[in-house]
Amino acid sequence: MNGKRNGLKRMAWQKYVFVLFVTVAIFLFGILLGSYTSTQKLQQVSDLQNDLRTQTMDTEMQYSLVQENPCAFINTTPLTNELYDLSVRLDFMENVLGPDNTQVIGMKSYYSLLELRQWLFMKQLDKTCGTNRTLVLYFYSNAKGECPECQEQGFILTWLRKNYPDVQIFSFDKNLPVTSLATLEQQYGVNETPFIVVNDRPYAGFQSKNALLLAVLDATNATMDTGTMQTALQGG
Amino acid sequence: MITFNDWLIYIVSFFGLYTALFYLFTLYENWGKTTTAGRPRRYPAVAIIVPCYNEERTVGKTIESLLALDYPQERLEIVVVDDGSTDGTYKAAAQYRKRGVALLRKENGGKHTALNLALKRTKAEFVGALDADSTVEPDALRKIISRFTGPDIMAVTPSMKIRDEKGVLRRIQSVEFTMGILLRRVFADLGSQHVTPGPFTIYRRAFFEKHGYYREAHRTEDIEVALRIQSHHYQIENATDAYVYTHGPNTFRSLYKQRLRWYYGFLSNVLDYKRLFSKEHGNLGLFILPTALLSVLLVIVSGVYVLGKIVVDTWQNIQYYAAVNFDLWKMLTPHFDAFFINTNAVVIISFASLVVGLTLFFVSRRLAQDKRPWKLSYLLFFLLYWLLFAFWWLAAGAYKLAGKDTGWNHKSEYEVSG
Repeated sequence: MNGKRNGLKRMAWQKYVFVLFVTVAIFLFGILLGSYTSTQKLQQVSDLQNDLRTQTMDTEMQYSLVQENPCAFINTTPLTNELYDLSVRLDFMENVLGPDNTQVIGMKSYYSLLELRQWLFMKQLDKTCGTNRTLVLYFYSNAKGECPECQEQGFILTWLRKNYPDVQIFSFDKNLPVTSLATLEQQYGVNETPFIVVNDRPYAGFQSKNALLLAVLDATNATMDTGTMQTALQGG
Repeated sequence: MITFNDWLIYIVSFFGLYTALFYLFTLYENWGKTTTAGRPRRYPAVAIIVPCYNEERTVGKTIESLLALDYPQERLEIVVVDDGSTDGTYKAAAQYRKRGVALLRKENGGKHTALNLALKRTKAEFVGALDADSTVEPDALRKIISRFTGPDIMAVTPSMKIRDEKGVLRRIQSVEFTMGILLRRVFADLGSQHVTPGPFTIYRRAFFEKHGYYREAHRTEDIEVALRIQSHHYQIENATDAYVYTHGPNTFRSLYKQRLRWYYGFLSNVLDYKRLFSKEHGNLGLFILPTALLSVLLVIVSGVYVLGKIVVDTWQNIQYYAAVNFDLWKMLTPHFDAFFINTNAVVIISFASLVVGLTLFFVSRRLAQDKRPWKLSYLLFFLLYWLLFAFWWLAAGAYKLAGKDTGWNHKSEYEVSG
């Protein structure tokens, strides 16, 4: 003999549907809030880019105005920190939204142009004033499976930048649809990633910390205080 | 693009959120029922069986706690069954004969045989068991008996707590047991309890007379009995404020062995009773049992994935650090910027799930009348326990799939079930 149907077991469908509704509402709220904050952050990055564009033009304008004594700019490294700050934010947004996000790709393309402009400006300053800055170009790829060593190379370059702020690093995603970037790649024969150029000298493939320090020392000569760099090199 | 990582978080969060909200809502609906009437209308005869195997050190304490029960002595029968112990268990229990405790001795044959021996001899209306490493609160029995409010209620489960909280593992188990108190309450409200814990679940003896005694049941007889009661459409109630204290394993090895037995037993018994997965069994058949199995699957997948990711990421980071000769001083300069707080949908939804999970835990503490201050073990529970949980389930699933007998000895059966 069995017991009569256990009434407690009976499913109250309204409750199941109500809880489903609440769960879906929380999910939708999360998705909408996430999308809203991402849009806000992208806007923030976009504003930063616009500021930078204005500042770059301002610097170039000043340069044109003081044609007679352009080397008054020698001791300044205009906008380098701002550019770096922007790149860190873009990296973060790329991690959050994914490398395929069209807004991220658009902003990275624009950022690359800003970097190119900055790099050309600094090269020109060096040429006119006879200085020898260490300008590093770094070509990488975030496409899946295309450059497994790029993450580690990026880490070493970040280390270099943090420890030697005088070294200016300009990084470029090789897959961006930017024509001038393609021209630059052609100029240095960039056919693989990672690819590094230190003051016009190309280095194809992954560069260890020591190889990179040697390349920088080679290119720098006497323009930088290389004492600590040599110590780092000897240390390992 | 949504990555595998994101999909996994979405699925686990949705499932976790839905079930947690469902439990909270069910509790809210039935909140008044969480405390018992306290005193039963009558005091029926109850027999408590203490099956033991090599428990000379703890059996005395267990019997003492039964003797201290606030229940009319003439209505309470305590029967200790020594299942062929090779130590001084029999001698330790024999001391209580003069205080009315009955003592039986038999050849070792497994816990269910010890329980059945006493079950067949008693004439009490209600029967229960108490493992020889557990103790009860004096008011537990009368609170449980007061829960037998209808003839279809065949069993009433207690709330279990960890007795001796020395050691990190036991403290973590204590948190798990606190959560278990809430789950048992919710399952009872949904008519879906599928485990009647070995320690101090009280049954109507008529059920065993009508539907058979304890079975070997993959060495988890307490799961089998519960499923059998459910399969006959009887009710299992819960006396949330009737507390039983049990002994938690204090080493990873002993905890692993215990959990392997529990989870293997759960999987095996649920497969034996797969007919319960039907509309006929309402909440139990269409929600509680399926979600129990689904949660096992999700815990295993996410556990393996997260552990794998931790190992791969750690190894990768070590490689990066090695690439700069561990010269990380300037890399680690702390810098706060609200911009870098990840606020994408996955993070927000995970956070919402965490909040609901914590709410569930707060309510559990309230149900368990746990007024102790917050401890580190709670954090450890949330961070680590589910990984252990995944590991135990994976092991139990592997044994089951391989159709392998785990070769447990009879001693392991005497460790607490639940």
